[in-house]
Amino acid sequence: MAPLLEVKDLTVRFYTQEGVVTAVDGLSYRIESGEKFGVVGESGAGKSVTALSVLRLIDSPGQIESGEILFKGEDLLEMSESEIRSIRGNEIAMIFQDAQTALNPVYSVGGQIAEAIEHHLDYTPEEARDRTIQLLDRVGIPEAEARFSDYPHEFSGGMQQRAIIAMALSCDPDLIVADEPTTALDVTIEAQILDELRELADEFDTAIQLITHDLGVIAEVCDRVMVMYAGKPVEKASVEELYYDPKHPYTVGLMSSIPRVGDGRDRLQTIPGTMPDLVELPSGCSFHPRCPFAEEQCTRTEPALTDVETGREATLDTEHAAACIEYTEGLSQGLTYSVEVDGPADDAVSQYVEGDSRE
Amino acid sequence: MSDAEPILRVDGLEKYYDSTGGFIDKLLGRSQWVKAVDGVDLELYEGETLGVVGESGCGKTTLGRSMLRLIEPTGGSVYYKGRDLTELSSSELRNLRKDVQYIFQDPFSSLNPRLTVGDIIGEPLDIHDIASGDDRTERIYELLETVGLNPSHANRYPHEFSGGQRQRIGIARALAVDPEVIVCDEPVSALDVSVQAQILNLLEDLQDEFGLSYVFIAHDLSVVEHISDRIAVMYLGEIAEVGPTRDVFEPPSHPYTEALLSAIPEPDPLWEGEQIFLSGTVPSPLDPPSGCRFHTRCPKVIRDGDYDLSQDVWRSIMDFKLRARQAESVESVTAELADDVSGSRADPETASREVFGRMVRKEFDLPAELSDAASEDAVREAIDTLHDGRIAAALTLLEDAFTTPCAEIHPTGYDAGTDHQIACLRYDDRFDETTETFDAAGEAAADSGVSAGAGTGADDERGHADD
Ligand SMILES: Nc1ncnc2c1ncn2[C@@H]1O[C@H](COP(=O)(O)OP(=O)(O)OP(=O)(O)O)[C@@H](O)[C@H]1O
Ligand code: SF4
Ligand code: SF4
Ligand SMILES: [Mg+2]
Repeated sequence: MAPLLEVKDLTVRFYTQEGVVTAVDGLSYRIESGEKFGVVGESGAGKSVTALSVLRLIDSPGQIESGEILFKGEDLLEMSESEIRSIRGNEIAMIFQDAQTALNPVYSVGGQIAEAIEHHLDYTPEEARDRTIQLLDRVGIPEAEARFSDYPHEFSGGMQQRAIIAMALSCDPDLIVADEPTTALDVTIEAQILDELRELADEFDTAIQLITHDLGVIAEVCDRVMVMYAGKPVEKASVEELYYDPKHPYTVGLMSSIPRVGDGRDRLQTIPGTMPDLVELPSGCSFHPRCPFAEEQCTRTEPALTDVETGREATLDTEHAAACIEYTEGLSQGLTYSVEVDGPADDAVSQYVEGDSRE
Repeated sequence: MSDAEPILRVDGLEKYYDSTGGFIDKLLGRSQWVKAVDGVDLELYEGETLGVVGESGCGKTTLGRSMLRLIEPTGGSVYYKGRDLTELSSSELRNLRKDVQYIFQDPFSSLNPRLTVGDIIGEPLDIHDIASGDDRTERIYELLETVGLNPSHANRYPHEFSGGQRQRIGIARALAVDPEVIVCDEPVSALDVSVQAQILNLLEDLQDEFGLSYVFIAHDLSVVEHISDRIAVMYLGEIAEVGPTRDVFEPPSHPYTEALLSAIPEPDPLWEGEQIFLSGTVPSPLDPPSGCRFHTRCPKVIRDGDYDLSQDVWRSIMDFKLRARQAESVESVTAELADDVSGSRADPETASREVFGRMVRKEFDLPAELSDAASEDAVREAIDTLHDGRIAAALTLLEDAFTTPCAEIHPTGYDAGTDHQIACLRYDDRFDETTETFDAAGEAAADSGVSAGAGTGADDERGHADD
């Protein structure tokens, strides 16, 4: 059976007044059915563009330049507009950060969900209403029956986001693409919503592509993760490998710049500088101006995503891949950071990583 | 620390927003107030960072702004080096702004897009007549360097800078007048983590260099924990807990602090910390809950000593009671399915008593039969009454049967060690730690491990009866 989703060599560009922005550059990844796949990176890394591409929602001035997006073996990029519409919201559902844009303010919340169910699943209005109330209750909306006919503005932010999750689940999709689904919410609500999302996805055997800038959220929900930097994947691994044995200097930098309660550090590690302008990427490895381990060759050679075990170019089957010269030609000084895990790894009390710059 | 005079002292600060509906309301003299900040006491000592943390809508920003009179407080006082800010004339206040600065949350909208960075930083120098001519230019270059920006960028406009750089510009502007205190409102929440770390380090360096005192407002507990010497946790316009960072978190004492802490998504896939999920949603500040404002969601809401129930079941009964209070109809009490089989739901209004009972118990996670006979009788009677369609009567039954001091007594900050105050009745002398019950009659519990707070403990006048 074909894997659920395979993105191969995807490149997306935006033709803007400032120049051509390569928002996603040669990106490949695979999501198996039922798998929870995380995409993490800082602002402008190309995470949202990746998500929109999977739904084929890239509009002018943007353009999918090349690549394939195989959903159950069929290329979404080759489909007609009507074919893609029948997949969107049905087999692939989406959850965006901003609940307001996803809910139509002039229709009741319940009505919108019920309509989608009627439309996609051929339910009678009565059945669709029952299923909607059930779903609203499942995602933790109190008094679901009474709130069925409430309008979006009568819901709090957290409840709107729950309603969106209910809507995403309503047609029993195979894949949910969730772009920063909890970023706008308070932690107490976020924790509940992530927990529900994970549980419901398990129950309905739905795969999730979860996009976030928050490594904590990824750790909580995902099985595998891809780190993006300036439009490219720089590391791909299982969550355990990524957090306990990160291979790319950017991943290490990200982890060590997060404050953790109780870690008692006086100063945080930082990554100097900021994400480069995508119109004019630095030569060689795009990360070299900020990388504490950068060497002369990093400014000239662009490292390919490489299997960290074999040193061969990564494929979709590679377990752990990173894009750093260390894993191809090799750096003359090597990567000299260390990972500290406090306590036994299987019930790690606290874990953090220090980037160790050589100066 | 408490020996010294605080540099800034907030005393009973209140900010109520009038949200009286329409003309009719006004005509009838009905007014409605959003109590955004409701009687906050805080102290900031020289050279320290006081973190203020809480969920959205809890009043953090309103507190920060009314503290400096960027918005006018409706009650209370703020003393800066002994002078009451709320009494100052506007020109006196303008002078004082030199000492007390504010940094805004949003690095994108807080800088005037039409001014160059040099003029943005120079503006406070002009307003306060601090420097002009070459001195002014010199000072601007110096400030840019202090915050890690290139002085040659003084002629650029804000849009030419990244978020982190703009936040540095905001900091340089605040530093221009050589302040003593800076109130920082979510200074890093719009930034990427790697940039956030740069700004946090910068703020710490500047504090060491210039002896600054910070009030650091943020929703992100890990950020606040990292930077603060002391922390105030806010809930619905009030301070739930304040104390030295370590005492507040290791281990957490106030049930709300505990829940906040447990909810942080840990960047560690094997993390096995137990997450505490709160019931319900944040109540409206228009009509905040009586007694302890957290009682509608608190997992540790104090049990009724008459019954022998587990804490979880007690919370479930409280949830059932609250739902009965809010429900408009019997069918909105439960949305649960009659059975675990998916398929069409039973309508609560037409369901048999037996099915309805199961639906209600499932909705609130109540066991099929409560271990305590008296409480089982009360719950069963309430379900019977609900099944008959008499919500009000069911509510009365539940309210008479199940009471908690948390809904009646307003907790003040009880002392729990040096500089550490916890506004939770579990730290009141009348709370018995062994039985975990509360003796409202006022007899101090024999083995209370908590030292007596200043004053009388609970502040009864402020506890409104349940409405
Ligand atoms: N409609 C558009 N027009 C022009 N450029 C765009 C457009 N949408 C995205 N881009 C550019 O594509 C790049 C990647 O953007 P994307 O939104 O995918 O980042 P992201 O990783 O989702 O960041 P964030 O964490 O801020 O959401 C950015 O440089 C962005 O400016
Ligand atoms: S290739 Fe060089 S610059 Fe890029 S991540 Fe590796 S060491 Fe750093
Ligand atoms: S007073 Fe009661 S409701 Fe409030 S925090 Fe303490 S235990 Fe919870
Ligand atoms: Mg995005």
